[in-house]
Formats: sequence, structure tokens, C-alpha cells
Amino acid sequence: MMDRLELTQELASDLLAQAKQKGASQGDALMVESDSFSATVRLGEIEKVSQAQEKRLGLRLFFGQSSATAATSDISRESLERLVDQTCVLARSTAQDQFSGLPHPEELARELPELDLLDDNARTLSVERKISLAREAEERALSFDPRIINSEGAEFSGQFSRVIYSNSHGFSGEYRGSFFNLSVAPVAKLDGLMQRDSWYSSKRKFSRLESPQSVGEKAAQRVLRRLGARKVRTQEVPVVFDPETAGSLLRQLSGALSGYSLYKGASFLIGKLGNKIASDLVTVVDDGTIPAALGSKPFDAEGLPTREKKIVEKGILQSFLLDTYSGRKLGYPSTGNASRSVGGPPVVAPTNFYLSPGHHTPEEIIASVEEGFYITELIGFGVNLLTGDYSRGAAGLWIEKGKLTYPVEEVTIAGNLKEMLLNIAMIGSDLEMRGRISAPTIMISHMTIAGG
Amino acid sequence: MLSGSRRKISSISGWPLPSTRERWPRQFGFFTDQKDYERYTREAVRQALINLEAVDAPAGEMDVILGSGWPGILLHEAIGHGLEADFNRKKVSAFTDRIGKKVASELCTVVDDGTIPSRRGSLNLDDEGTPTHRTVLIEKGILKGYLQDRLNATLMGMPLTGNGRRESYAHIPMPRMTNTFMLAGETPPEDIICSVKKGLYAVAFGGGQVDITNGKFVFSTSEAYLIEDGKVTRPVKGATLIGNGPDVLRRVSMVGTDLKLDEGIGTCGKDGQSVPVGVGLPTIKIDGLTVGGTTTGT
Repeated sequence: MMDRLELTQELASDLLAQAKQKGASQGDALMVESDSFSATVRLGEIEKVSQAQEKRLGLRLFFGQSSATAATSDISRESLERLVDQTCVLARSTAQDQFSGLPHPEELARELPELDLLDDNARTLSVERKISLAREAEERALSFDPRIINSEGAEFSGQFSRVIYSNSHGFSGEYRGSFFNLSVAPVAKLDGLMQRDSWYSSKRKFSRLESPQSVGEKAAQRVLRRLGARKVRTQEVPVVFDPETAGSLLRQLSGALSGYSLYKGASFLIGKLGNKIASDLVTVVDDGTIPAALGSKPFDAEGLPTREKKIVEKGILQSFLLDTYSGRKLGYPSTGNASRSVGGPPVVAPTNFYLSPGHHTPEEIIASVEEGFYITELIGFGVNLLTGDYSRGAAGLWIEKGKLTYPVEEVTIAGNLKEMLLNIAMIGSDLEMRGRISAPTIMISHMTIAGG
Repeated sequence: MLSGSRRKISSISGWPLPSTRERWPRQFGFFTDQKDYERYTREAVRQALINLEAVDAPAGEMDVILGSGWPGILLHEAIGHGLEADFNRKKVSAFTDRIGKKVASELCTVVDDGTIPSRRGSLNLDDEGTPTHRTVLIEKGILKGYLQDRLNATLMGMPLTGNGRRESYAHIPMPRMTNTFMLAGETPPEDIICSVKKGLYAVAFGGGQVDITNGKFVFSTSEAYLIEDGKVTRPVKGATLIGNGPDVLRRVSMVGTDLKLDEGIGTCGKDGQSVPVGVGLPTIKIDGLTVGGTTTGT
């Protein structure tokens, strides 16, 4: 049995020193230690309980302008020595790339903010308590209304993690974090036809999760309002996106803003920096420094600070989302959006990416629509980030004379993201940071609904 | 959920290629033989050029002809997931308690077959040690069976089908598809196209998704054309097609002779686990499916 080592910043600098001795010109090491669990309950019975601990170490080495990344979960002296050797062999044999390399030393984070990402008290939650949280949420949903006849189950899950990152420019940092998620998916039935919907709460602090009762109730309300859904005829109308579906539009925007989409020529936002890409109402922010938020971290996967930045301000595109490599390809500095799995090179990801709230309540937005579609669910992959063409399956509620009426399903909404962003006519005040990407209710002045 | 994004070579439109001919990478030579990778490149360029000329897709319900091969993603989304045993044991599938009932036109026989040599979805044993099978899901329109793993087959008192699959050692097995396709019919594909006055001819797709419980499924075209007076005319931009799983195959009015399996591009996602799968289809005609374009009216 080989000796298992602890993951520490010293171990990281030790490996980088070894690599340097073996000829590497630059390098970085990323270590992740995680402890995750989940408990799933269905119709009150325990369906699955899982628990997993993982330690992984990834090493990226540069020999001039060629590089390689390798990773292991075998954290012992012998294994790590082999890892350094093998990474050196790989890095020497890959192609030169003039854009490769670590960020410039002056870009690296100097002071690491305390972002309150960890809930250490929650480590003491017992398995019984975890199961009962899921059970309580499901019970509340099932008992809410007799039409709720079944459930796909409820789950309480969470993770504690520790991230260490060091590079050969002398940066070394680490942070700990946690997150917790409670969700339930009830099934309701009317006239022989079933509907399913769900609700969830996801937070870094256990104490900030919505109560099981609240999660269960919202899930129940969401599934009940889908009963009796029908198709509508094909037409062009104003469309209101609820915060969940508006968030999906923001996710697509973040994809089109990623340096990798841009330098590959696969984004409708190429060359649009400084141009108007959305209506004047639209301000989009990426901010990795919000205390206790799901997407916060004190530094990115290359050791750069995660600052607050306006991505779109009053409709004008102010910034792309870049890491060092994609930034160099495009001729810009990194925006601190490098994200990395232990075994791969960095990619671009938003931190906390949100649409700034407007002044209207969701009710006011709905009331402003004579006839239109309030969307609560989108499915499918019909979004082309190169052309902006957009066509997805949708479900929701029909709006008549400013009021939500009957549920709608089996229709599509279609348009083009370029026009959809410009046609955002109202933005709600109801922004809630429910995930890494969040948005309030929005209204787009017109889209094509395809139905019967 | 099925997506076909795992391509080594992709066109600027970034979506999968249509099947063009039967050839399968049995050996490494497939990847180094110049005429094979050239074919993929030419095909990707061809599709990108066609899409440059594409007009806005129509919006509304119309006759839809699906080409052979990868458009079999229809079967994967519309019925395949809904017949996985876990959803049926829990009675949360739109197909729950429908075995023995008519769910498709008599022209439709659909199978899931993990035993075909050298196919992307094939396995000699599933991930619980059960030999894979050819499982008839729909026979001449009648719903015949579910796709089982060990846990669900035991709980339901039904035979194993060799569909217990897992992404890796760190994942639990679930009922999953292997290669899912419709058997060939008797109509020449040209006759199927000629039969449509006004409709859509879709030959290549991106990904698809389904809501198991209400049966609503979508799949998105990446190469499609208008049919006008029995002729394939202009290419149209990508559009999502949406339908209802227990209903869509009832509308199949013609099935072609040209069954083809896809070229090995499909990856199916379920509960966070990804596994490789195959699909296949002869050319078929669906009388009335909602096409999610932007052009309303005629």
C-alpha cells in the first residue's frame, strides 16, 4: 500500500519544481477534493442514498509553446512522479501554439476576497435528516391537491469541496465551498392525461434553502397549472418568459459571448463589441465576487481575480467572456472567466451571470399584454449560436386581456436571438439568484408561435 | 435526450451530417483512409453551403417526410424513452399501461437491437451482464414491450431485455436504449415525396428531447427542404419539430423501403449519464406534425 498524500499548496509547488527540473518552462497544478451526497425518496420510500469522496490532481505543463494536461486520482509519491514524467513527455510532443501559456504574472490575483462560500455546520447533517428533507418536500407536494397522484421523487443533495491552484509564476491559492439542493417532481392527472413539473432550491448555505414545505408547494402549483393544456393556433404574439426560461436565454447569450465560440467564428456576436446588441433596458453583469452566491470564487482557474463586470450596458456590448488562451486568440486580455476540470485545459464559463432587474412587477408585465404567451418551460436544442436562429418547444399559459388563462403545450416559439434581444420590451423587478445564471421575468414584443 | 454533437469534423453550421452511405468504422484504417475523412469534410461543407441559401422555415402543422438514417432520432425521443421500464414501473410515462394497445399505424414495427455487429449502440452484454437482445417495441402498430434493466424487470415481474446500462463504474445502471429503429416498408422513397403537395422534407437533425410524462417531444432539423407539388424545392433554416409520442406514429401513412442506420453520432443523456446509442429509419411520411419555423400563413 502506497502512502496517500494530503492535497496541499506545498505539494503543488513541489510538483511544479520537479517539472521545472525536468525542463518544463511553465506549469500549473489544480487540485480538487470533494465530498458529495444525495438522498432520493419516491412516494415516501427511500429510492437511493449515495455518498462519494474524491481527490483529483491535474497538472498542466508548457515546454515553450507546446503543452499538455494530465490528471490522476492516485495521490501518492510514486504516482505523482510518474504523472510529472508522463506530462513532460506529452507536452514535448504536442504542436506549438503561439497563443498558449500562463497569464502574465501582473494579471494574477493578489488579495483573495473572503466570499463566504462554505457552510461547515451542515457537515453534521445526519443521513436520516437528509432523507427526511426530501420526504417532507414530497409529502407537501403530494398532499397539496387530490389531482396530484404520483411523483418522480424528491432529492436532497449537496457537496463540500476544496480547490487548490498553484502556478509557476508564484501564484498559490485555495478556497472551500459547499452547495445544497432540494428538489421535487410531482405528477398530476386530469382526464387520463398526466403532467409533471418540478421546483428546486439551490444554495451554498443550508440555512438559506427554501423550506421543504415551500419547495413542495411550488412544485405542486406548477404541475397543477399545466393540467388540461392544449395547443394554440399558429400566430405571432408578445411572449413573456418567466425567470427560469429567461435564464435559458441568458445561458445562450453567455455561450455566444464565450471566447471559444468567437475565435472559432461560431457566434452571432463576432465583432459586436461596442455595438448595440439588445434593447436599452438590457444590462447584463458577470460578477464572481457576490458573497455566498453559487457562481462565486475568489480567483478563476488560471489564478486571475473574478471581478464584477458589465457585459452588456443599456444594450451596448461591453465585454466578451474570455480566458487567457481565447483572449490572446482574439487580441484581448482575459476577463477572469477561466474554468477548468482537473483533467483538461481551461475553458470559458460565466461566474454569476445575470440580467439586471427592471422596474415592473411580473404582474404588471403580464397585465400589459392583450394576447400573448407566458412561457414556463422550454425543451430541445433548436438554437444556432452562429446565425442566432432560435426554435424551441414551449409550454406555459396563454395570456388574454392581461390575465393568465388556460395552459398551453405542444407548440414551438421561434425567432432569431439577435432580434429577440433587441425586442426585449419589459424587464421584471423579480431577479432572484437561483443559479449561476439568473434573470427576472422579461417580455419580448413578438415571436412566432407554431401550433395547430 | 439525444444529441449528435460528437463529431470529429463539423461544418460551420455545427450540426450532424446526414447519412450518405453504409460504411462503418470497424478498424482504425477507417479514420486514416483519405476517402473516408474527405467524405465527411465534403458532406459538412455541402450542408453548410446549402444552409447559406436556406429561407425561413414554415410555422404550423403540415405533412413531414423524414429521410432515412439519423432522423430515426424521432423514434428515440417519441417512443424509446417512454418505453424505458423505470418510467413505466413508476407509472409516470405517457405509455404507462399501454402494452397491447395500438400506438402506431400498422405500417410501423420498431425494434431496439443491441446485437448488430459494429454498431454504436451495440453491446455483447449490457452493464449488468445480461446478453443484449432484439426487443420488439412496436409490432405492426401494437405496443409490445419495455426496455428493462435488472432492478425494474424484477420489480415488474418481466423478462430481462439486456438494456441495463451505465456511463461508468461510478454510475448506477438504468434502462437505456441500444440501437432503435423502424423496419423497412414497401413504398419507394421517391413515391413518398411525390405524394406530398405542401410539406417539409427533413434529412438531418441536431438534438432532441422529450417530456416522458406528457409525451411531448422535440427534435431540431439541421438540413430540411420545402416540398411543393411533390417536388423537393428550397432549403429551410433549422426548425424544431414538436409532437406527442403516443400519437405521432399513428400518423405515419407511408414507410419506405430504404431502412438505414445512422453513422454513429448519437449520445443519449438521461439523469446525468451519457451513453452511445444508434438510431435508424426508412423514409417515412407523417400526416401532420407541427413545424416550428417563423413563417406563418402561406
